[in-house]
Amino acid sequence: MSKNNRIWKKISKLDDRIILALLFGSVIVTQIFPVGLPLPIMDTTKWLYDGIEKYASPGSVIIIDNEVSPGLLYENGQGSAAVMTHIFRKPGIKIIITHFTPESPIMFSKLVDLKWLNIPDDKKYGEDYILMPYLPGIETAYAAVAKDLWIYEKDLYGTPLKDIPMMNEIKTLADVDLIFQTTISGGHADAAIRQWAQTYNIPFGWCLSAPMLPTYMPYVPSQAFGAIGGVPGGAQYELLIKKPGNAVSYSDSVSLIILLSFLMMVIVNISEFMSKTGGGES
Amino acid sequence: MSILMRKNLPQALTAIVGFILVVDYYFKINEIRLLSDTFTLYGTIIAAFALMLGAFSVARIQILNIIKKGKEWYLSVLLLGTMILFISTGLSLGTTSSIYKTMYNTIITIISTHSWTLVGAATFTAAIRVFRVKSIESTLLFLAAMLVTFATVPIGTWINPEFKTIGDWIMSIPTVAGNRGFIITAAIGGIVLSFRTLIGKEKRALGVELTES
Repeated sequence: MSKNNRIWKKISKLDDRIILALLFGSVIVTQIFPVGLPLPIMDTTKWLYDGIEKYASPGSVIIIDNEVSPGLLYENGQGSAAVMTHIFRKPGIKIIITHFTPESPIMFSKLVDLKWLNIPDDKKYGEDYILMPYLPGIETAYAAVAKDLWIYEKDLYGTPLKDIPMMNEIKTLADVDLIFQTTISGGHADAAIRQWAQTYNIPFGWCLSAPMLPTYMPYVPSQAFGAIGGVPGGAQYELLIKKPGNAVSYSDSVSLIILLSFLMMVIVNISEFMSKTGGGES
Repeated sequence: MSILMRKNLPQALTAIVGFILVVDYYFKINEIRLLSDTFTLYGTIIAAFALMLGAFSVARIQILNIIKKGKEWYLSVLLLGTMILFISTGLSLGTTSSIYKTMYNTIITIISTHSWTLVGAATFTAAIRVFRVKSIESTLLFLAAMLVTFATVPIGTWINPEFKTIGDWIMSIPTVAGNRGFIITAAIGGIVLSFRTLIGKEKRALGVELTES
């Protein structure tokens, strides 16, 4: 085997530690020296923004199905917080926040604590918004809530629903005007689209993880009027609501990682081809 | 357990509940609606019991491992200790208490985030290692992945603004067409499977192997 061939072979079997060091280095460099490249707004993101502008009108009832997961907090947490902040800014609306994963109620308070989600001072708990506790059963639970929102009996803090003024006129999903779901689970996304959006024909918006977005594109913009995916979607939404936050600051890192990954894929492919064909041998 | 209790009764219950739910979806009959609502409510209660059963099952396996001084029994002690700590704090102070939230955020959130970070890093290295352009199909996959990815990140449109147009087109047309095919096929399969379960032809949902039926 020639010297050139050995080099190509070595490149094609690049050590994991070198790849991970490059990954780590690219994140650190872009965080220390942000470039601030202009961010493109995808059609699906714009559709989600426009849908919320259209349907979250004064007097409307909105369900936010919050399924933010601790593991992927930095994947779809910022996008979720950006959309929720947009919804909370709307005047004269009632918001019901539901949870179908055990960890999501804590994750909601985490978004508030991190100041990713800003609840305006004029929005009062029990009058303008309410947090529901975790309900097990995924698809069955979604179906049960659709038929009777009072299935909960009590809110997250143990207050009976009959003592919460905003719930007096909200009984079933038929009283709801808009649904926004944030999830990284296909089971929850499927259940919400089947049991809520499709069955009751209610405008529905999504915040998914980046890899989920292409899978759920067949539902956009018909059953779901818009959707965002992962950090890129979150960053675009932060710009649309004019509240650039963490997702925007991560955009440079994401850009560099993507560029790096494709460059390395190309290099590894070329080197494998050259090592097999004996490229460079005189 | 007799075959009646093991197979026939669950099969009959599945069929009755299933038919009532299907009829309720297509026909608006008050009596059926009442039954359907009750069964849906039962579903959430059973799911809560299933969670409890899962917790008991995990505890039982770990306790047995500790008693037998089995493989890595000290990890079972750690798991049981954490489980008891979380359950007792949640039951006594409530899951909305600051102590429970602090425990959750300093243990579970951190561990989960790190686990997913490791998955991300592994995916990154695996993608570079495995993605080999050897055929027309893999070349198309590589190009589509590159175009869609570059359409969503700033560097893509900085290199060439057309990446956004192409990426939006790939997401809206070929992606939708392909995935819609998958979804419709899976849905038709689901309908067939559900119908077979309702009429008692499909028994695997009840844990009965095909060879037994």
